[in-house]
Amino acid sequence: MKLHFLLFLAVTVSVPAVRAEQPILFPHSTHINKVHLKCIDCHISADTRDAATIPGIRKCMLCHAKVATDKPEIKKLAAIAASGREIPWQRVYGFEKAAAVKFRHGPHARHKVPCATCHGDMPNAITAQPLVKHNMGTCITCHRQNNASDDCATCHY
Amino acid sequence: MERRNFFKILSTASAGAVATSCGTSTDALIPLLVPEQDLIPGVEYWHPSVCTACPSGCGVLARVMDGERIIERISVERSTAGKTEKLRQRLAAIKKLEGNPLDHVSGGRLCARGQASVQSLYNPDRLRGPMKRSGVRGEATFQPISWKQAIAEASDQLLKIKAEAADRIAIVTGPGANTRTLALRGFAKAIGAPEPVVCSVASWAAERKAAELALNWQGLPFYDVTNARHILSVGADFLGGWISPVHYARQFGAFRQARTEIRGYLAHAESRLSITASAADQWLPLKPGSEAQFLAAVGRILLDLNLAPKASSVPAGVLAAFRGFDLAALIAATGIDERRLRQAVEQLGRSEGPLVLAGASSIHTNSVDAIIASHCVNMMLGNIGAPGGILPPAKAAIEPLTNPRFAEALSQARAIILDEANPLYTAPKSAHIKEALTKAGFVLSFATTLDDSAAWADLILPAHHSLEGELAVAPSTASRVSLAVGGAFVQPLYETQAVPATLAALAAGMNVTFQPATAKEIAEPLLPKDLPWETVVREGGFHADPGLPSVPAPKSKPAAKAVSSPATFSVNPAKFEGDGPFLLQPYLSPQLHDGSLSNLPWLQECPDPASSAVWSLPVEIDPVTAQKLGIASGDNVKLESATGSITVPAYIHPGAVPGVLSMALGGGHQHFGRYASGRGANPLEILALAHEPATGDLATGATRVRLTRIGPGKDLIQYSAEDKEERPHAHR
Amino acid sequence: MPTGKETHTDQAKPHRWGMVVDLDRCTGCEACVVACHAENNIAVSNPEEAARGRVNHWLRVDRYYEGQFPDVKVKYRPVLCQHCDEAPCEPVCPVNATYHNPEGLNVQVYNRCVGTFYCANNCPYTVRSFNWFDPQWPEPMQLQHNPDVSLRPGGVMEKCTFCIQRIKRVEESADAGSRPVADGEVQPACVQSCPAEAMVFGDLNDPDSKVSRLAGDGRATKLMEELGTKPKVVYLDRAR
Repeated sequence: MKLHFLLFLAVTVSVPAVRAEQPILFPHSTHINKVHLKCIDCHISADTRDAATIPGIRKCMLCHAKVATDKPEIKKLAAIAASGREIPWQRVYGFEKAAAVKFRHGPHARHKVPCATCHGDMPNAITAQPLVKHNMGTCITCHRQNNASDDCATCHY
Repeated sequence: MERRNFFKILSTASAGAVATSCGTSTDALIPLLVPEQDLIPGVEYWHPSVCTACPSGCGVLARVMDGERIIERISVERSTAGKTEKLRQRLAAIKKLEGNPLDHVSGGRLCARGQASVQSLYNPDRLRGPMKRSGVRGEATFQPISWKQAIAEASDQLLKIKAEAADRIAIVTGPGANTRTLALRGFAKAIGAPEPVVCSVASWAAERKAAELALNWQGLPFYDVTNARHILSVGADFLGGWISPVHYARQFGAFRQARTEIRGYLAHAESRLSITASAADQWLPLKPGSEAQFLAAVGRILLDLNLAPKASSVPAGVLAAFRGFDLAALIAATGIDERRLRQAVEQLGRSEGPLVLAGASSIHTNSVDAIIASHCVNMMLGNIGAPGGILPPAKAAIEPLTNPRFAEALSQARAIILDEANPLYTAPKSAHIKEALTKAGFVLSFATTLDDSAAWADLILPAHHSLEGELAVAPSTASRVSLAVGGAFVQPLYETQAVPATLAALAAGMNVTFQPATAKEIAEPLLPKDLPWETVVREGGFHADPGLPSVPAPKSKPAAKAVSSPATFSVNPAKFEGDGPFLLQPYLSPQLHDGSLSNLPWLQECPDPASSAVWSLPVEIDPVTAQKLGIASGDNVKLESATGSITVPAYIHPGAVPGVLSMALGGGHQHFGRYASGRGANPLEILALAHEPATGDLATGATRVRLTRIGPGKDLIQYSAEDKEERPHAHR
Repeated sequence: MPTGKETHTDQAKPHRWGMVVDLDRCTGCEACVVACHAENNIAVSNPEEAARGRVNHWLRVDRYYEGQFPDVKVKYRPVLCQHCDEAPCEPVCPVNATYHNPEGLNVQVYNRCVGTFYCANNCPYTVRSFNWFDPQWPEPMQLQHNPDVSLRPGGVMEKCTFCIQRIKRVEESADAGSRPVADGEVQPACVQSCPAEAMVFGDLNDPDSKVSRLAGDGRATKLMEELGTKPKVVYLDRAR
């Protein structure tokens, strides 16, 4: 029984922060530092809604129909667009269904939590990777430090 | 990972192998291009539409958010071209329906059936596309076919039959008044077929006919329950399965508790302890079919007591008829204690705002007589057109179809077109629908799910769900010109087509000119000048203000001349067929309605208000009869009429009228998806072929049956088995 | 919080959510029952499981018969979690999966629940239901799922939440607009659906709210109040 319990902890608490193999080497750094896009230019509802959202391929093609079309990654992008599919991005953050967590970006943005608090140094990152470990400890620590509610039903319902 | 599956996983693989949503394993399913570009996860959009679970026409708001489903398609990518690939598709999905607060029928509220109708949209048993019969008719074996081929074959068949006998093309539909009904009517006219017939036990033909005969009103009268003070309702389960339950329940709430110092009093006379009877302050248990005698007695007693202030507005012949009744015989016919009956009438007459509301929740051979009698009593009380009384119906924005003689039409038919109708379920065996479906040259169905009748079709051209396309519905009861409209805001899930479009395609294939009217075309001539169509669409419909010049006035004559002639007034005794000792009283289930919602699991699992039964509907037997025959709740019993028998579980109902076996509709579907097929029994099946003479409607309450115990059974599943409260709730 | 604006909950007393059910308006139509299913992703069982008493309802309508024909009366009463201030279910949970939150809600934390059934055994109102199996949602029924409400796996106890997801949405939009939550702004699914408007929901800490005013009505009673559970659902008895 003891062994079971230990294993059980190992599985549920540590969400593996393994590198995600993204289908396209999307450089966040280039888009932020060179093109000077803001996070919410693509993740359009990160400041107001529940989900930040990942842009659809149409948004990529708004620029990349003409920009840098000769680069191999952009050719990959164009091929996916032509096949009538979306880019199969790998989610790097999120909660298992069994965690029963209702996370909402809106209130965090409204209370001026910087994106980097949860997402790390994306301006210098290439593809989306789990740079910050998300677990209940991370959430609760921050909530307590900032005098936000630590009632279970704030997130779990 | 789910900790509850922990041991399971340990036994099969190492825990580390479990992929989480944050993992790196490539998804087997590839997201398809998202057509709803503006669909933001977690953001809700509200779109107005109309509920079509029954013909009341409740305006609703649909909550639309993103959803995901798995589809299969042929790959277009070069490397995998031609192969089937499974894809995850993100799409706009309806999450919930709420009443539309701007709508005058629902007023922002909705009933159990309306709440569940999302489940008919996302029902796993919906047909995915056109189907062609591959076996013998009635065997229910089908194979998929393309729309193009299906339309070609159907129009070919119809064209052939039209050339030989266009008058023997029977179009059978439900009792609604909507864009679909209108299209069917137009199509029938275009191809020279007779007007579509209505197949339903809930078309309220008796109520319509009585209003026409007694008051010269076209349509269903509008009862102003909110402003009445004392209601005597007779035969109409108006809070349950009657004309417009949400509308009348809303009014009922206000009638009871919305006025300071005034609380509405409800007395209810019906041959069943319906939910209206339960909500009533007093229940008068009538003998089935004695509503007419009861109302005649009410009128007579009011006259005797001088409690009929407007008796002068009633034609002299009718008054004389009331005065001439043998009161003792009338009272004896109702089965109600005389003192109690007189008391109830006196209470009504002495009220400052009396109202009599009558209907035929159970249809008898004299139902029209009963409702006419109620109109006469209302006339005596000065209720016609008065606040807290009975108001004339507005001109219907879409005229409903009213011919209920579907069995006759089917028996003659060479070609049969079924839309929102299930005659095999709705008609008794003695109506020989199966024979008609076997004999017909061609059977076409627009069913969305394979049902009992669609199983007999040669071709099924599945319709969109009503929430998937544009539609307009004229509410079944309204005192002002009203129309509820819904737009197309979610993409159809499957290869289905809206019925008007299918009819247009069939007409084109038959070289007949036919163009179905759109919701806009129907509404525009009715709209006030300052009300643009865009506003109507945004608000989900319109409800004309009285007195607007551009709105046609209701076609009704002044109340004084209401009853056209005394000749229309008579009180015939109800006739019953067969020779059993019991009367069978099938009724509209508050959940499953007329059986057309039996495939919705939420409603199957919503306990029946009478017996608390889930997934099954029992026959309700009074305790005295049960004791005499040795029947206990849960036993299987046989109900046997002259034309057939069914086996059903028994429920000993403490409030059942002795000698009356009530049973809710909804069970006994041979084909209707995984949640309804083969469950329970259908009491309509064994009804005698008796009709209400003035309307031609099937008299659902006119059959005598025998009752025998078979033995213990397992089919009665009760959510709560207790009938009596263990420790009655103490009042403070 | 790193913000200049104070939220409503910071400046005033927290909300104390409660409900009033007027039995003089209630018809027993069960619109609330199905509305609750549609809102809260409550699983449908099947006839076999139903026969073993494994039907899940967060809200049921009790029906009791009184008297003998022809003087039979039926009493219908919608019964949901009473969100008791002294909830018998809370102290017995060995893993603290059920507790009282600052807004007076009796909360069930699904991922803490290990399914001991103690809470359900101790609930005098029998309003808790248990997922005996992982719920089945044949494709495409999942399209109807409310994303605001967790899907509970098998082995978990669940019950009425007063539609906490709706409370959260309203509180958040009030917070975003720096305004208090208006009376009647939060409507659980059952309240919103009720055709006879028999149910009213609101803040019992606000003496002017409709629910507070109705709770003081002469017809007001609480279910099995004598047990000392201090329910936050108030019934207005049928007038006579």
